[in-house]
Amino acid sequence: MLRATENETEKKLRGLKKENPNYDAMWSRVRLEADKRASGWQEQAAAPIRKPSAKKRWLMPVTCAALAAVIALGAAASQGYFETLIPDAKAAPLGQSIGAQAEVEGMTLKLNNVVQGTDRAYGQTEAQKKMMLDFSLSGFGDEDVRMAAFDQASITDLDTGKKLDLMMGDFNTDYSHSIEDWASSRTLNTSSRVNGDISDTEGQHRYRLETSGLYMIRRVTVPIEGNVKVGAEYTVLPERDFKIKITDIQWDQKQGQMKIKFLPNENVPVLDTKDSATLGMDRNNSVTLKLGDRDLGPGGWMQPLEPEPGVSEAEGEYDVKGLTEDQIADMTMTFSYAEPVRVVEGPWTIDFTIDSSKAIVQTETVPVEDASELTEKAGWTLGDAQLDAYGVTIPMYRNNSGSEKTTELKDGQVVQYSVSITDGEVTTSGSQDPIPGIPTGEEREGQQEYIKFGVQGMARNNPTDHAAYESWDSYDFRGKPLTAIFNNAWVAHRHDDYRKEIPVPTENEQTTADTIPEGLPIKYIVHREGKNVLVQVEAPEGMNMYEGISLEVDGESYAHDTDESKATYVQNIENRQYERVYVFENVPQGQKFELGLQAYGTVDNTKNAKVIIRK
Amino acid sequence: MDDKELFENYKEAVYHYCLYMLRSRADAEDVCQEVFVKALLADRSGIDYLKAWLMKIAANECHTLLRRRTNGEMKEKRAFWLGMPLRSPQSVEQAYEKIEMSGEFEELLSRLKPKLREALLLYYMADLSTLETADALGVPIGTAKSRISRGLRALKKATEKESAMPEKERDGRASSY
Repeated sequence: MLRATENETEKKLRGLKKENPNYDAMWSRVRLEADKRASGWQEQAAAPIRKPSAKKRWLMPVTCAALAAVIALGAAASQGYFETLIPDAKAAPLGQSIGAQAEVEGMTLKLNNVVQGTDRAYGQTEAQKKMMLDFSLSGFGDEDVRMAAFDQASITDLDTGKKLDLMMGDFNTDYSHSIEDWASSRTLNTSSRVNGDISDTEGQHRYRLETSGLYMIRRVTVPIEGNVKVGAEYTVLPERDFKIKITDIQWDQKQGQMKIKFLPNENVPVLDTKDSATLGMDRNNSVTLKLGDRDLGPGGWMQPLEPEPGVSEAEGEYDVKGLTEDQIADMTMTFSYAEPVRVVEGPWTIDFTIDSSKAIVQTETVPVEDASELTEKAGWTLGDAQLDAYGVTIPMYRNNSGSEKTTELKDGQVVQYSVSITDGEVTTSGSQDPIPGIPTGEEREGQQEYIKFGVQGMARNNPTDHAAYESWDSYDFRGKPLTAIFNNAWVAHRHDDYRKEIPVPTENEQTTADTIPEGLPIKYIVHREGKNVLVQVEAPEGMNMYEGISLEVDGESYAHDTDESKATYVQNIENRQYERVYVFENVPQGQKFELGLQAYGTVDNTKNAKVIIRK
Repeated sequence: MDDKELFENYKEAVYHYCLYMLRSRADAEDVCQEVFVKALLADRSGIDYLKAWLMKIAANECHTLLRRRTNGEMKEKRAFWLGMPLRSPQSVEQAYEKIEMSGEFEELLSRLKPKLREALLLYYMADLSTLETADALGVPIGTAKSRISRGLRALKKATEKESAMPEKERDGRASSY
């Protein structure tokens, strides 16, 4: 027998086998999930400082002209999608416990809890009435169900007869924090949101919830025989004569991306729901590419919102970075689709009564106790904090030298902070709304600025607490000590005298490196396309372009394109970040080409500040 | 360090810690993802040693999942003894995709008690100090040192035992959490 020494054991521990999962795909999921949790899908478009905008992330569907009315798989997730991200929200400590339920064919839908209040979500200038409903769905047998959703759902105010806006969440087993429930009680939870003219007067209010068309599905993945080849047709599901054809392959070797268009025949699996958005992303089909164990994507998948079987093409985008032609030839494919496990038509009808004294969380207004550090460092003052059931909102005022309100950024101005708020027990991050100089696609110049903190993504402060995963869709901030932290101050810079001469643009890309006045490196990748000059800016980490760049040709100035909805971004193959390509139209040939920097920002941590809202 | 750099620098350490703790690629990917989502959402400005902080989150997440598994097993066993029909066609244990440990040492490691295994993984594989390991596990430094030492001895003993054992007898399961 060999004697093992501790040294050998230690050596083996240090040299444990390493695996190579698809980190790129994992990063995409991390990024997406973090963004969604941070502030909800709608909010991201206007919070581009540390996170790419929603538009950037879904650049591909926007710029793809070949497919009409396309959507990105992720972008298909409309505002309601983020509700499904917190399907297993624990019964809120706030609000009114209800306990009303309805059962159809063994499937029981139960309304556990209701929280009613006002919401001041990102982009909203006025507080909106909002009600969050916490549901559970039970009665699943041994079926291999992964997700379930109601095809139709509505809520009616029985006192007025008016229907309210209901965003019913999906029930999904994919969330790790529902494993226990799922394995033992076969129960899934979700939260749903009600907006509209919700009664908020004193007394009792009666409502009727009606749902129908419960689709319980699982995701099925089957291999596709054959190599990836344009023009080839593949039999995917022979029992239903489902075939798919590759109609186009675009391999961008520079970007390490491959786009493949697929044309499914008329026998393609489709869920026959009345609402084409039921089950959101989980209802879609997709083709995955693999090379051995390496998962190549799709990183993006586009198909028409309501695909026409046998006619509508779908397009997948794959990460083939570093692959050789031989490896490309060896790629294999799988097809994934949603298979109904059981469909129960229903309807489920739940009548319930809300007692406003229990369900409504009244807004508390709290004067900020001490914002002197913030005022001293950034020149900002804060108005009274509004503590709602769904977050905290604080109006913010910049001490502008002039009385005019303008979004034009000034040199040295603090543009934005990373903000968070804590009551000592939990911490949640926030965002500024709006942020001056940040294009949002909406005209918001002159609007009141706010610091807004939501409860999504909130976490307990004590990281050693091994309590089960918690998520919140409401929280009681009232009567608690509150401190707001302002970190990572982004300070605007203007250097009108900055000029960098670049080579005369040709149709070939030319790279010019430089250093900005704050000492950070920057690269300009320039080329000409006909009359237009295109400049891709590789801005360094820690630099944020607010207004882009300017171009001067033989002393004549040219401005770049400003329509953000049509702006072009290119993914940097090395850091996978999207970089803006500024387009200068109708630029004549010339001798001397110079680039200038317009307003941009860098981080100044000396401006970090703490604000005591209430001790 | 920006979000992407954080991920790039520590993805392997976090993933492999999760992999060897959970013995499931799918779970390791899920938990690794969750660790980084939480890290991205957190304010990292006051954190001096990001790796130790990340491993602490990873340890917490793995604890949570292991506890869920154990709870699930307990409920199944209880249901069995009460003569109740099992609601799941598989046991909870079977429901998790097992990592195929082709290496004998990895298999031995997987049989260690999770409390010892996590200490060894943090200390040796993630290269944390004993203080950081203790912090990540939420235990006093003496306990962390003791777990590392006991884990090492147990692993050494198992290696010796394994090499002396006939092939067919080499089948054991990890202890419960």
